Amino acid sequence: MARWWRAADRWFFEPAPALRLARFRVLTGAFATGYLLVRLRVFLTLGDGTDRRDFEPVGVLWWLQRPLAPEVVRGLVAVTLILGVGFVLGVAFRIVGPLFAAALLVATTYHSSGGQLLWFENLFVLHVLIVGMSRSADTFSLTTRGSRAPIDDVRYGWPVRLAAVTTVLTYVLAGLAKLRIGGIGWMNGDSLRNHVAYSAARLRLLGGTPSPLASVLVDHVWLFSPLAVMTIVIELGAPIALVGRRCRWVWVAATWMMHVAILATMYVVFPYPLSLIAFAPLFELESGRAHEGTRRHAWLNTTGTSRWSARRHRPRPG
Amino acid sequence: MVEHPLLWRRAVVIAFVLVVVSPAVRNRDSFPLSTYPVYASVRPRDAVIDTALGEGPDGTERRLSMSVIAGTDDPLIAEQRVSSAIDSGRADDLCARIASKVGDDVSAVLVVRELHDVVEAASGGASLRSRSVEARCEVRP
Repeated sequence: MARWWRAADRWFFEPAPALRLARFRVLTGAFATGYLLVRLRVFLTLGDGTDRRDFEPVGVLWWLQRPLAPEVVRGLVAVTLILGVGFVLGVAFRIVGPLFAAALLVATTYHSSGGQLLWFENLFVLHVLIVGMSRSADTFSLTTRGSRAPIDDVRYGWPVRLAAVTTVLTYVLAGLAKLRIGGIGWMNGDSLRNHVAYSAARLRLLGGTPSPLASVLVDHVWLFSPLAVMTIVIELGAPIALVGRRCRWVWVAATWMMHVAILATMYVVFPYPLSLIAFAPLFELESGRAHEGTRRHAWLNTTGTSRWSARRHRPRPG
Repeated sequence: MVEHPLLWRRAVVIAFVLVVVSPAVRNRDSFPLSTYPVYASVRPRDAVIDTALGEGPDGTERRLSMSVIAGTDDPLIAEQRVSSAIDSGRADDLCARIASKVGDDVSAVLVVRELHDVVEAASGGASLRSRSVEARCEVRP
């Protein structure tokens, strides 16, 4: 146990390049801001046009007695978007980082307070909370352009590792929920087939067009038992992604394919894992960085030299 | 952010992990901390689906879009809004609101709770087992 604890401690707290955390900041910030933009109409109208008696505050908004005024909701969304741009660029990050994380948490919590929890928003909010509270703009940001990247440090490693563990835990929890709620019987395939059929039926009855793949597959019930078993194996087996490089690739590929299958059969989009950014903290995001001696910030370089030209001009040893 | 000593970082990591797994221990789903019960239920082949229908002047049924029914493009949210309206006795309000948004080819709106064989419904077959009309309202020209 002590050995395991020491190994976990080493893994969490080994020094890491600032670029790893900084690139994860850009990925999560760009995703969250892009998500808000794509769903802007939905977010802007959260406070009006809908039946506000559906309001069931959850999470950090549990204390709200009544829905927020439409102007407040629109203001919150606008401020979150502006902060999101600052988050991606790494501007005044000690203020913008925590503020964006908090604003995103409130906006998405309000989105889930309409009587339906929206599970596809949980993970990126948790990741933004981790990144927003960390030193993720010490490089690869507008304010650090042209300066040398800091040396590798413990403080740049553990937030990414914590995000990786969070990704893994969410899948393990989803697998456990299936066994707890559905029991072992969930794996016989009937439930999964009926979930796929239900999604298609609901879409059809609500005036949409269901996936043609679902219409074909639901008639072949034998397909769904292996798919259900695979789903449980992928979800409960998520910790193998932390074990080694090959395991990580296999698990990420399998999990991404699972989300593609959900999209193809149920037209249900889990945008964060589908974009692969959910899995980004499992990887060494700094790979491809410039050599230590010439580590200038490539994408915000003020010297006018690209990373490639910086490499060409690397001083010769001696 | 103030530089953390290693002990403080360890405490943050352990606390965060415990917070993330806590919904499973407490069996309480929320946001952004969740038990992630996505597709976890045992779903039978027959299922209740709440929706709204349009009725043409000749009595034929017309399916209405999610944006007309609930102002959303998400079926999960659309169905939840219809179910919530029915369960809380507000089906008439919802019906009137939908009626104000439908096109000229609809003369009446029905808010319904239907029991379907979802496998049949998925493939476009005759799936309706039963229907209860929770609200009906005329469309004013």
